[in-house]
Amino acid sequence: MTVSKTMAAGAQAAQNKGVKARFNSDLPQVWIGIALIAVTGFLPTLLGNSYWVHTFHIVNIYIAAAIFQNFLFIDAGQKSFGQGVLLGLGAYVTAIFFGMHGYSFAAASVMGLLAAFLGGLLFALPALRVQYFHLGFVTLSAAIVFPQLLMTLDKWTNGINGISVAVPWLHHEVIFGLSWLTILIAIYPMLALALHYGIRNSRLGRQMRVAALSPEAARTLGVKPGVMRFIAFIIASVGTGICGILYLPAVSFVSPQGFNMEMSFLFFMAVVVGGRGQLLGPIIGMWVVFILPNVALVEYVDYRLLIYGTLTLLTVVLFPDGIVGTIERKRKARSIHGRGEKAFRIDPFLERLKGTAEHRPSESEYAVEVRNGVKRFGAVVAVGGVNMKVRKGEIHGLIGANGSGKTSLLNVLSGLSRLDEGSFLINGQDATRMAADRIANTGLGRTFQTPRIFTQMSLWENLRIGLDASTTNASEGIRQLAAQLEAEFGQDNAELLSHGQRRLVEVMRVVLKEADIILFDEPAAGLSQSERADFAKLVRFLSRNLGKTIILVEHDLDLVWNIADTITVLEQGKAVASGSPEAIARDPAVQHMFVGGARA
Amino acid sequence: MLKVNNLYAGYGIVPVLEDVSLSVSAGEILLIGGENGAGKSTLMRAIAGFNKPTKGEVLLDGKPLQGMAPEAIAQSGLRLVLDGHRVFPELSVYDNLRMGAAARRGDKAAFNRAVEQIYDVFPILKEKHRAYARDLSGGQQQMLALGQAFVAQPKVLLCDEPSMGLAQALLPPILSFLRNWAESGTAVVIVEQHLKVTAPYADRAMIIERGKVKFTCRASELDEKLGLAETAEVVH
Repeated sequence: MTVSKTMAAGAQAAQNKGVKARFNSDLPQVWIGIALIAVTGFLPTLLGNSYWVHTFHIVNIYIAAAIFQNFLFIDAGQKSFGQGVLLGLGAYVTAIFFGMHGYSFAAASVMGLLAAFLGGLLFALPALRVQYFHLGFVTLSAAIVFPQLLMTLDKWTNGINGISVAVPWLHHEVIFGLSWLTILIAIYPMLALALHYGIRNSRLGRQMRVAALSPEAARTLGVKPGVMRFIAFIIASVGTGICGILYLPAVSFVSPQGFNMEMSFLFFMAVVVGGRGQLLGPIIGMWVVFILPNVALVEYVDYRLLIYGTLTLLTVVLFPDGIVGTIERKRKARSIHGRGEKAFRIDPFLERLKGTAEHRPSESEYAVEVRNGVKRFGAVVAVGGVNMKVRKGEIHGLIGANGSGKTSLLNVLSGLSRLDEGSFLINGQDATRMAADRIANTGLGRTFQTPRIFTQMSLWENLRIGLDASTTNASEGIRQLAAQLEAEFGQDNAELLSHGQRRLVEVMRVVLKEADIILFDEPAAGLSQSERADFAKLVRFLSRNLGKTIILVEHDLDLVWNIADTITVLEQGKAVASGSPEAIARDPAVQHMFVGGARA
Repeated sequence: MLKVNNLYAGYGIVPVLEDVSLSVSAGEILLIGGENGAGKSTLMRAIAGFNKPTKGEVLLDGKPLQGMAPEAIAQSGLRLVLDGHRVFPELSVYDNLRMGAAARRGDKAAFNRAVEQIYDVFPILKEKHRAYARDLSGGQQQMLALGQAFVAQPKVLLCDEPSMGLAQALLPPILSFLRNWAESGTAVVIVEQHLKVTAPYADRAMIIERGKVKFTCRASELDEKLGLAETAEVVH
C-alpha cells in the first residue's frame, strides 16, 4: 500500500517539476567548444588574414594539449606540471627524424608519437608511487630539465641552433583556401574534446574518477587505481604527442627555448583559469592566458610571465572555479535537483526487484570462513583470533561494542587490510593474500560507515558505478531497476543528500553491483524508522529472493534480530558467541549489550 | 537561552528551511526529529552559522547571532557537535579534548575538572588518552566529539545525531550524560532518529517535515502525537 502510494506521489512530483535541468552542461559545452574551434580554425583563412591563421594554429594546438591536461588533472586526478615535455618530445623527435635524417614526415611522426608515449610511461611510473604535490614536483622537474637536455644532447638535437623543417604539401590548399595543416589543426582539438567527453561518460571514465576521488572505494568496486592512472597518462601523452607533431609544421622550426617550463605552465594555467574539469575550460582559458599576453599585449612581450601570473591570480580571485566553472556553478544554483525527503529512498524500487526463487541459507556450504584471523595495528589488536563461518545465502549479523573489531574484520574480508595471522576463505577459495579489487571481482561488495558519495557525479552516476563494477551480465530485474533509477536520478545532484540518504545510495550501488556476498557496515545509522523498515525488507529480499549472502555490521539490535539468520558477537576482537538469534538472545555473555534488556 | 524566530535557510538559492521557530531555555533538552532530508541538519548548521539564514533571527540570550561567522558564534557560547564524529584524527585523544577548550582560554582547573567528568562517563577515553583519534573506532570518536564539546562548557549545545555509529547500549549513558549536562544549566538541542529511546531524556520535542515545523509538544507526548499523525496520514 505505502509503496504504491509513494510511487504515485513520486510520479506526480516528477510531473510537477516538468523537465529537469541538466546535472552538468558537459554536452552543450562540447558543442560550444567545437563551434569556437571551428570559427577560430577556419575563419582567419577564409578572411585571408595570415597572421591570425598562424596565431590560431598555435592556439588550437595548445588548446588540444590543455584538453588532455584537463582530463589528466581532473578526471584522473593526476597533477602533472610537465605536459609541455610530452608536446616537446613529439615535436622534437619528429623534427630529428624528418629534418635531420630525411625520414618521411609520416614515419618521423610515428617516431615522435612513440617518444611522447615513452615520455608518458616515464611520468606514469612515479605516479604509481607518489601522488598530489609529490607527483607535481616530479613532473615539474622534467619540465625544467627538458630544454637543458635538448641543449646537452646537441649531437642528436642540433643543440641551441634548433632544427628547421618544411613540409610543403601540408600547406597546399585543399578547399576554400584551407590547407591540410589548417584542417588538421582545427579538427584535432575538436576530436580531443569529443574524446574527453566520451571517456568521461564511459565506464572507464567513471572508474577513473572514482579511483581519483577515493582509491579505497575504487578497489572495493574491482578497480585498480594504479592501472587507471597508467591508462590516463598514456592517453594524455599520446594525445599531447600528436599536438607536438602538428606543432612542428605549424612553426617550421624547433629549438630548446621553445619547450621551456613556460609551456607546461601555460597548459596548466589554461585549465585553472578556464575552469577545472569544465570541458569548455581549456578553450576559454587558453584564450585568456595565451592570446591576451601574446597578441593583445604584444608590445609588453618581455613581461609575458608576469602577465600570465597576474591574469591567473586575477581570475582565481574573481572566479575561484575558473571562468566556465563559475558560470556553471551559477547555472546549477538556479536549478538544483535532489534534495529534501524524497531525494533518495529505496521503497519505490523494492517492488522492481522481482525474484521468484525462494532461497534458503545453505546448510553445508560457506561463503566466508575466517580461521583464527589476527589483525594488529601497531600494539593494538583489532581482530584477535576470530573464527567465523558464514553460510551461503544467509544474513549474518555481526554485533559488538564500539571498537570490538567489526569494521576491521570487514576491511580484512574486503581486502583493504591484510590479516597478520590466520586465513580466510571466500566461497572456499583462500583469499587471505588477495588484493581488494580481485576480491571485489570474485563477487564481493561492501558499503562504508562513511558513505563514499561523489558529488562531482550525478546521483545516477553514483549508483551506476555499482553497475559498472558488476562482474556478470546484468539480470533483467537489475536492468529494469537501473533504467528506473536513471530516469529518476539522471540529473539529480548528490551533494544535498542527507547522511542517511547517502547510506541508502551506497546500499543501492552494491545492489546494482550484483555481488554474491555483501558486507554492510552500519547501514542503518542515521536512517529513520520507515527507512529502517525498508532497508530490512531489501536485505531479506537480497537473501531470500536473490540468494545473496549478507554480512551485516549494525548497532540497531532490533533490526539485526529481525532479519539475521545467524548472529556473531565480537568482543575486544574475539568472537565470543555465534548462533541463531534466539540462542544469542539467551546467552548470558551478551546480555549487557541490550538496552535495559529491551531486546529479545 | 536560544531562540530561533521564523528562520529561512538553504543552499545557494535552494530553500531548505521555511519559517522555523524554536526556543530552548537553560536546563532544558529539545529533541528534534523528522525524516531524512527534512532539514534537521540544515537547521543545526544554520543556527551555528555554517550556512547563512536568508531570513529570520537566531538569538542567544537575546543577542542576535544570524549572519555571524561560525567561529564567532562558537566564541559566544554555542556549540554544534556535527554528525559523523568529527574529531582531529592526527591528534591524541587528550589533545582533542584540549582543542575543545581552545575557544575558552584560561581556567586550567575547570578544564581538568571537565576532563575528569568526561573520563568518568567514557572510561575508554581515559584508557586511550594517548592514542591518536584516528585509531579510535567510530563510536569512540563520537564520544570524543561530545567530550570536546563538553570541555568547552557552552551555554547552548546542539547535537546532530549523537547515536550515529554507537552501540545501542551506549545511547542511554550518553543521553543521561546530556541530561545531567543540561541540568547544570545548559540548553541542549538533540537531533535524533531514535525518538523512542531519546524522548524520555528530553523535555520537549519537535518534528520537522519538508523544512517546516510539523508540531512541537512535550517529549512525553511525542509517542502519542506521532501515532496520531500517522493514523491521520493513512486516512488521507
